[in-house]
Amino acid sequence: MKKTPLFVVSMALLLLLLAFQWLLPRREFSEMENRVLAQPPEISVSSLTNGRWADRFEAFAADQIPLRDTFVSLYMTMEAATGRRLVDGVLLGQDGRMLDRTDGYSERNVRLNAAALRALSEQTGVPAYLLAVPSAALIYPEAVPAHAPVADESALLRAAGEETALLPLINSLRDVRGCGELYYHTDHHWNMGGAQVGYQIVCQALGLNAMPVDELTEELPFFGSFYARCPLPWQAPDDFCFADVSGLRLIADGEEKAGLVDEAQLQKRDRYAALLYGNHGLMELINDSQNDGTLFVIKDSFANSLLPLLARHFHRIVAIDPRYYAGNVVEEVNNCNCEVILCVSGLSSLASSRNLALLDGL
Amino acid sequence: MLFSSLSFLLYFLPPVILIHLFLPKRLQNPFLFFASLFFYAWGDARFVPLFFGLLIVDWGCGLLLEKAEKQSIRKLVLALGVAANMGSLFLFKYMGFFASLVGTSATIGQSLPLGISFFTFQATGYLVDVYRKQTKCERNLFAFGTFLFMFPQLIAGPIVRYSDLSQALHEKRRPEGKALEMGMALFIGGLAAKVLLANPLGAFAEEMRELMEQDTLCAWLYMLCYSLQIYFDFLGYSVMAVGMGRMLGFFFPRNFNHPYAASSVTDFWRRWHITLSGWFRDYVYIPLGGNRRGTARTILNMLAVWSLTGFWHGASWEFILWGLWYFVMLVADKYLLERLKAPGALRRLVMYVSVGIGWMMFSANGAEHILPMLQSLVTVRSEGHALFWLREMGPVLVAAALCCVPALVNGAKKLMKRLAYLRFAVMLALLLLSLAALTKSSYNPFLYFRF
Repeated sequence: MKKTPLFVVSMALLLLLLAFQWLLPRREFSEMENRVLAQPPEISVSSLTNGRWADRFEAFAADQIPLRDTFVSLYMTMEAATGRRLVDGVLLGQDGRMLDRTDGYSERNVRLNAAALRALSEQTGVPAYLLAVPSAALIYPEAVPAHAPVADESALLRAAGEETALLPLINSLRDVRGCGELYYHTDHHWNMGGAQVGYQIVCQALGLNAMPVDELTEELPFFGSFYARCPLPWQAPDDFCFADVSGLRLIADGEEKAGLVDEAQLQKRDRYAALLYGNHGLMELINDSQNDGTLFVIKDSFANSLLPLLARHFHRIVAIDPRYYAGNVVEEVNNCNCEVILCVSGLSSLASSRNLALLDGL
Repeated sequence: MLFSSLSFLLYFLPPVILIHLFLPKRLQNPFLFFASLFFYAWGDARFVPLFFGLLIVDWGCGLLLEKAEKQSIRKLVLALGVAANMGSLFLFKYMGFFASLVGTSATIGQSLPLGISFFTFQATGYLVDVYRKQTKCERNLFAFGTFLFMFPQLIAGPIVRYSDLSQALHEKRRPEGKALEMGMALFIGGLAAKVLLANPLGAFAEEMRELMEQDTLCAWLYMLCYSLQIYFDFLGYSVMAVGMGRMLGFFFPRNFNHPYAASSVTDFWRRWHITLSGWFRDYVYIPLGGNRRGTARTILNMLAVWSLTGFWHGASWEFILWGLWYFVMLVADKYLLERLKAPGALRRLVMYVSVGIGWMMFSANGAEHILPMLQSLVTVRSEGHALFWLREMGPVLVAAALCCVPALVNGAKKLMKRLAYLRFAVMLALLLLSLAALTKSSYNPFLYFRF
């Protein structure tokens, strides 16, 4: 040992990691990274010969390595300490603000999705509006690292506006950005502040009288999706709260939920996924204190903080998420007798996929 | 199994090294042989029969070469042995290429047995050495199998000559503390070169490849990143191999000697992948007459060697063109720059240009991409966020560039030799950081699957 400290310590370290990989209980899920962790792969003749078993075994060895969270933090620290500002697709902006890398956004996708919304409106005779939520990079440009690979989101929104009725959200967000946070620092979503601005804009467009939002819950510390990809040890948490609107019933994929928020998920790291119990192909919000009015919504997760506010104005909101919805959207709109169609979506979804344009019936 | 994987670092390396250390002499070779077989079969067990087939043929041919006295029989045996090795190489590696030349496709050769280019060359060199009576044949099958397939050098070299290992194969290998310590330090150094330098450089190279047609600076950054990536990747594998060899009681030859500090193209190839250049020198160039038969013949011999060197690196046109490119630049260096007594700076500049352009060709992934890639170096464009990327990769580039300077690397080595505590601390830190990178980072390519 005296003559060979490096050999002995390195071997001991590797053997201890090996031993504890089997002695410690296996983890199913990494809260820090928000993903399912690999388990020991099952053996089959075909997987052994085609190399898949070896790949799965390597995934297991990495995912179940003892002190995985510590190793991940160490790696993140090394990345940040060597001046990296783009780690795992997350841009590390000013003042702890994490941002998406968006240079892969496609204007063609935006146009196809926006045109699909207009086509839906034309086919059903129901007016449709698009509330496209840009990323924080557009509202807080000073936080974006210089020359960073980000898309020109203004141009993308202009393109959307040329294809369909786009609600004027950006100017309002910019007007109030000095009054409080509109986006999370550690998550790609807007926060309740941003959602309230969106609410005002929708009310203006639909001729509703915006109601004050006085049901906000107590703030909880929150580490969002950016943090899950890039868990910097010194990242400060966001404050997480939501509008706890009473008197609403949530029916998600045919099942009535107990309340609007998944209390179990709310205790976990990804609190945003607790809102409306996450994403569903088809869901309804029923407000028994309103007698009439139906709103049809095409949404992604950006709508989850906003819909409870809007639900106060309608008897029923029917919402589909194009990523998970498999039915015929034209029939769905015709069947629900709605007065208006609203698409609430992050610009990210509109620009990086064609889910809306690919909906059946369009 | 790849060295830079947790399967290898946790499950394979420590048990194998430690068990080998304490085994009696007669069990060491069989153990190492079966461990290597396990290592080889881990990812892909389909080629184990090939592994055994070549083992038996090469071992048998070696015995016959030594036993036979008639020159005609010895020649026949050598021809058969070489044909078996080169035939399997042709079948698995080049059949598809030649089939595509005549417009058909080959069913065999769809996937390449890992390391086939290394162990077939090693076996061929062995047979020629025995034929030339430069070395005795290996009678013990396990010792021979250990020589041919030993896991540290099985999949990415260095290409080892039998005479380098023959003594250690027949001794009780009980590496001393110093050898274990040095071997572990080399292994960790190689691992860090692969995981902490080559992998991030490779990730940047991939980004720059996407952007090079929009931005001139990105094209240059691509050339820089890829040149450094392939060096530290290959160096890392070779140094890990040498380090594991030391821990097992073997001395493997050095494969790299600061190639990017070379003074000319000729010098570069004395420092890059030394064991491969040595193989081509000993078994192709010199048998063809080397440089002893006049200028025209020498140039012809160089053409043969460099076409083959290119083709060895992969069965497609870009590798052949890459080899021919070096043929042209080496001839120019030898017969133009050297004879005209060109200033050292010029020869060095020509070396950097040759190597940089060479790596562009090498990584083109299809000969049709070579010209557009080279054009992107000289077409002025700037739409790729190049300044962001330059700043982003700056620290890694600087670190990698410093590791290319012989004076710095040798100085650090000397310092660590003298200060054991420093070596311990630095190497342990590098091991922990490499483990962290292997845990979290998903980018960990294996570059030699086409070799």
